[in-house]
Amino acid sequence: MNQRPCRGPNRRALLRVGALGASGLTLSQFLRLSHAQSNSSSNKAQAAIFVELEGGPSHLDTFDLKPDAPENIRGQFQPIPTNVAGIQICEHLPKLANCADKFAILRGVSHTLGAHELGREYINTGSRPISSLTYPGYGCVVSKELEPRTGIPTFVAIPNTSQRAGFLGLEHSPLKTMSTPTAGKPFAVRGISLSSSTTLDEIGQRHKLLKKLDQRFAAIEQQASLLQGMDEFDQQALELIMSPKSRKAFDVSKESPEFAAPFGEDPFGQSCLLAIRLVEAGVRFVSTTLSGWDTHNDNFGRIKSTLAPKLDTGLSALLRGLEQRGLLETTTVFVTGEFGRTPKLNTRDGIIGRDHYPRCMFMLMAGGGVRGGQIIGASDATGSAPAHHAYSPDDVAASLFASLGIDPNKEYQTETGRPITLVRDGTVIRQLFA
Amino acid sequence: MRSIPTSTFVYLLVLASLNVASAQTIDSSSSKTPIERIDQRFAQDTNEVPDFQKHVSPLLGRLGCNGRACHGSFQGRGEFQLSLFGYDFAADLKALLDEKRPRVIPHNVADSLLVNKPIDDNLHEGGKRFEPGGWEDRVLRGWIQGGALAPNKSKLTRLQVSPAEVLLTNNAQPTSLQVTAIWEDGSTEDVTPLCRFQSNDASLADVDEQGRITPGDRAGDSHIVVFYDKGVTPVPILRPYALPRDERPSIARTEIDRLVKIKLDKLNITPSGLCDDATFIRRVSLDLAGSLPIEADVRMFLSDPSPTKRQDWVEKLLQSENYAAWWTTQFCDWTGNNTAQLQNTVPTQSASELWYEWIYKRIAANVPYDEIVEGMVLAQSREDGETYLDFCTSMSEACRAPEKFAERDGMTLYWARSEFRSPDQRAIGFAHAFLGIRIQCAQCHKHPFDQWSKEDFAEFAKIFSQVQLNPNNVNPKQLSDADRIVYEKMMETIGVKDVRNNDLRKKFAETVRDGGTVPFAELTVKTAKPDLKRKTDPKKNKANKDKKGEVKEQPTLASGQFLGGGRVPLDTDARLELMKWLREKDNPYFAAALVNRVWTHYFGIGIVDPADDFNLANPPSNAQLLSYLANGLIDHNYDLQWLHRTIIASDTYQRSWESNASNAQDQTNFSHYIPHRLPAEVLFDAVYSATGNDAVQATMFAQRKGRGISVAESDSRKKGEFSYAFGVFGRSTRKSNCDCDRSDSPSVLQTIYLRNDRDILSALNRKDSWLLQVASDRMATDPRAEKAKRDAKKQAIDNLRKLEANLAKLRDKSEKANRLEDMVAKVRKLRESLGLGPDDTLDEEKLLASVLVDPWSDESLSTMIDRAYLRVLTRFPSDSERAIGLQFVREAKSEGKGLEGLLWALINTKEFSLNH
Repeated sequence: MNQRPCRGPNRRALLRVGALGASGLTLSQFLRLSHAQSNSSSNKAQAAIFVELEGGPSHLDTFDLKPDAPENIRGQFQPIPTNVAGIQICEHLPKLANCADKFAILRGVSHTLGAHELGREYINTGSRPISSLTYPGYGCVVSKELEPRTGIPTFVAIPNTSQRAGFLGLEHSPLKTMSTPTAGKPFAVRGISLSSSTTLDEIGQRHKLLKKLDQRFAAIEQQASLLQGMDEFDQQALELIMSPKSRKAFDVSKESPEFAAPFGEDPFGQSCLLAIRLVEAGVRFVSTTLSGWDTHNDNFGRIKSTLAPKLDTGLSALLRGLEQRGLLETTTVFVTGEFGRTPKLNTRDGIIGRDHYPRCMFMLMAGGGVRGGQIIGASDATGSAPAHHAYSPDDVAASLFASLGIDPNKEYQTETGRPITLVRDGTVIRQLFA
Repeated sequence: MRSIPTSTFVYLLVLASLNVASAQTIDSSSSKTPIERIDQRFAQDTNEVPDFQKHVSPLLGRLGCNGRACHGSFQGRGEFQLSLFGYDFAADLKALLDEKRPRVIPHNVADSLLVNKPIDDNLHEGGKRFEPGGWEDRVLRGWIQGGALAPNKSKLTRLQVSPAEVLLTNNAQPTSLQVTAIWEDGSTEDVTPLCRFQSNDASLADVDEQGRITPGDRAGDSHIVVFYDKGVTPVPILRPYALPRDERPSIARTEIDRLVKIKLDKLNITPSGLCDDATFIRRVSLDLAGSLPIEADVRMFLSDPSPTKRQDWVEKLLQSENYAAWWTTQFCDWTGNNTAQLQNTVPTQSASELWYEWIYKRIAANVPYDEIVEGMVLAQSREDGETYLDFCTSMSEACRAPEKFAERDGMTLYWARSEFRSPDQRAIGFAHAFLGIRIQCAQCHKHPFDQWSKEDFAEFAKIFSQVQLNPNNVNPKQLSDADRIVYEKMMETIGVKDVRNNDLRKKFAETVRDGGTVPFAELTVKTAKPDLKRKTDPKKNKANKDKKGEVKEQPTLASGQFLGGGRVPLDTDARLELMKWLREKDNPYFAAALVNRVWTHYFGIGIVDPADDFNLANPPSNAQLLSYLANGLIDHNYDLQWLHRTIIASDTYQRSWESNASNAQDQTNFSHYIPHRLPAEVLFDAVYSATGNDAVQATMFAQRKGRGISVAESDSRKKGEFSYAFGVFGRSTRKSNCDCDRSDSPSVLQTIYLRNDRDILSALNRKDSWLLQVASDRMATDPRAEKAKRDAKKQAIDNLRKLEANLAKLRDKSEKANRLEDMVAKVRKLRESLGLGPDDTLDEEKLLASVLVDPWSDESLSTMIDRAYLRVLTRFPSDSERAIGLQFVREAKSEGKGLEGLLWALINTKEFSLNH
């Protein structure tokens, strides 16, 4: 099993029956060892929330306005002042303008992938995609590096995510809710929720029966890490299904009306509310999505009437909610789309739009030690390129990992034994935390 | 592992049998005595000028200079880059002699950084690599002093390592490896100090950079690998288990058993006994046909006294649809039937289905493996004698009925995938699918674990440069005049003369669906022409004139090269030679890769493991076994069923998972069966079969239709109901030329799925479930059951449900207050008639169960528990299991619920989701 270039346990081999027996480690020892490598120092963030603005939000019409640019570039929206002197954002983001002290705006972030799928893969992994390899998504890395908490999954995607575990192994895949909560209505997740025909009591009885009957391999269980692993998963699964903690965390209808009100009725706002509840209950990584930003047509109409209001309400409630619960300092929030949009308006077909533009985009970061109320980087006068230094998605990914105490230079091995650095080309943006 | 006190173990011994081998080799090279070791030759000043290839480059490799973390990095280090893992001599010399920043100044040792840097801790970021004045220093200096010459490219014949095998015992002497390089010109040199050494399992034995072996803390076997030049030589390391051994003589019944036993004897391992009949029928049905055996067959098998029943059962499976379906799925994994990469390759959405059906037909007919591969590798668009119109008609028909595609000889889709277009992609994909090797490393640098250099890769890739196929676009210019007329007429009939791209595709799809014929792109082979003309034209090629002004006749014929084999001219279809090369009896990969994959499927671990990673540093755990199977396959005309029969018939396959003291630790030598998780599709099907009624079970076992194991697509969007479970259980994505696209590792998500997912819960209670069958059978056979009464009750329950649902709706609309009152009254009345209070939950099962007067007798309930065990776990319960089940059902809310709980528990045992 060991013609691999780097030392270190090979997960796949270790999980095969008995391989651990041979190396003298039990699975739990092995897992502990793996966890021991992770940095869990107390001044680091304990969790992260990733907000994906799917479709590629226009930087020029949200967080990087150019009121002095020519008309065919600056568009229709006016900047407004925020609660931080010198920072202006779009007039249709008034609630975020009121809490600009809580997040940092990165401007002039730049890359070269103008297709949705590739761009998404890039900003969900921090590595420029290549066809021969699946890079693990942020949440999968967090699942591998941070210790899981009892009775609650480590990585939850509301409702879905393109993040995959890749070579880290399936066990680090997200738990996908597959649907979003509706305001005030009970909410449950596939596999974790209880079906109407089975009661908790019955599940308890069935598990007791299972324990009694699942004895066939008792004699070799000690040498077989596969069997030990399955028993461990059995315990975790049971906790997730049985534990009121996890079900309660998912059920947004249990939230007090006062706390829930600012999140609004929209699925994105409700996802943000759910994200807070999950982080509060111990989930390490939550991803949420607000889609619809692919505004080739009717850019201004769509942003003004739906996209901006949804983002404004959901994200401001998320930041305020986290702060109210005392979670903002220990939770890193990262907001991004796959790219920006063309500075020059596209007026084809008479409906004004903007097209894909990876060369210049914005990203937001908050919480987890990030100093809010600052702008990092800048785009040029027309929002066409970074003005000076170009930050890459890799840099921001490195910063995200660093805020969680995960070394961005950490090295993994793929299943084929190829060594992979977590963030190959990124450098932590120190100014974020200054 | 170095922390373990070495005094307690010690070792060595050259095995007697191997002395013979090394004696022979010494004999054959005795004409020249090996040149002595370089560290001794260069211990003092010497006039010898070291060779770049033989001495300098390996030394840099051994010192770690060209490693990935140092100058081998593609960004270089300190603006100095060496080729990763060496062997690109031209690039390395260029970097060393770089004009702007030379590391080496020929004849000027004093100013050459190559010798100044590595001895200086301060100057060199990589630290001090050797002592000034040491032999390494002298070698590098000597080469520079001699003019820093490029190597005369020498060809290494092989490395001879002594001892050739190391047996670790508790009271032997320490051992060091000695390595002799044997070059093509017959010269030999002791190159031990220039080698890199690597242990494949440090817990068994570690090796230092001098080649000294330190034993680890466990018994078993693995390899120490020696690297020098292009040579990679694994040295087997064995340490027998010291545990008590069963002294009963074990008989090797088949050749497989004999070859396995040789290895087990060396390691002092007694294999486990054979598994029982119940385990066998389950194991082999799941492995060979991807199917859980049905209750009736299991009963029959267990009571059958025939001594040949195991063989007979295998023959029955080999004839089944599901044998063909399940192995087709695996062939699709290996060959890369990826739905996304096949998008738009045919006008309908079913290219993956065409691929699947093409292979299915051949597996079902037991077409020899080499012929199946030939159909893919040598695929031509048209059959013999087919006109362009015939071809398009036949393909259009195939798009409507994929099984028609299977009747065509050529599997052109193999060449049609979007990620199988460039020669490099094809070389990588082909090597993975049919050679079981991961050649991609050598695309950019010397393969770190194998002999392949970047040049080898490039030469191999050339073979794949001829095939042209752009299935998304018919290029009329490539058609003959006659065919172009046919094409244009076709376009006219469809009415798409000026339609392009997506609209054209839509129109084609419609036409095909409506029974019409559309044009298809054809695979063409672009052969190279010997470039005589250019070379003989004196005006255009002055460089080729010699001094007398005569033109040199040097036609260069484009050619490629097989991996480790001969050259292939590219002026004819090179695929013919490629196929011939695969079929050569001494091709080390083609048959071996297949038998190893099949073996891996049966045992969960390969003879070479991972199964698709044949390389010199990853040798087979049992080379004789691998070559017996590979040669056997060839000798039996690539008969796949021979391979299945031979493996399954062995005791080695039929061993129990129950281990004994001597083999409990063994994972690699097939001394006992190692339980492994069922593949995603098989598990999914097993759940539906185990929970389905008798008719469902029988149909699922007999037919591939609707089975998870016969889903053609790799794309999750196309897998419908299967999609979630396939994702969770790691069905192959067929994406990245790696058998690891399929995963067999467990996860908490899998456990949650089996415990509580709606797929599982609804499978238990679906319309054609076994539980429902049991309930209605009982109704039919119980004379006291009043079916009519039950039906009436069922009717009342349904009415109540509807009413209450309507009531809930009405409550939201307050204006209909009158009707509301009415309904509330009705509901109350109905509830009373069913014996329910206003707030009692409506539990249909409980209500219906109360129709029955008598509970099940212990006897009939035990029968049901037996049936549940036979359906799910393919065996009868033990007495205590039966008692536990009985008690559980008795204590449940109803017998139906109890039985459901039992079935749920059985599906959730490890015994169910593992093959064992």
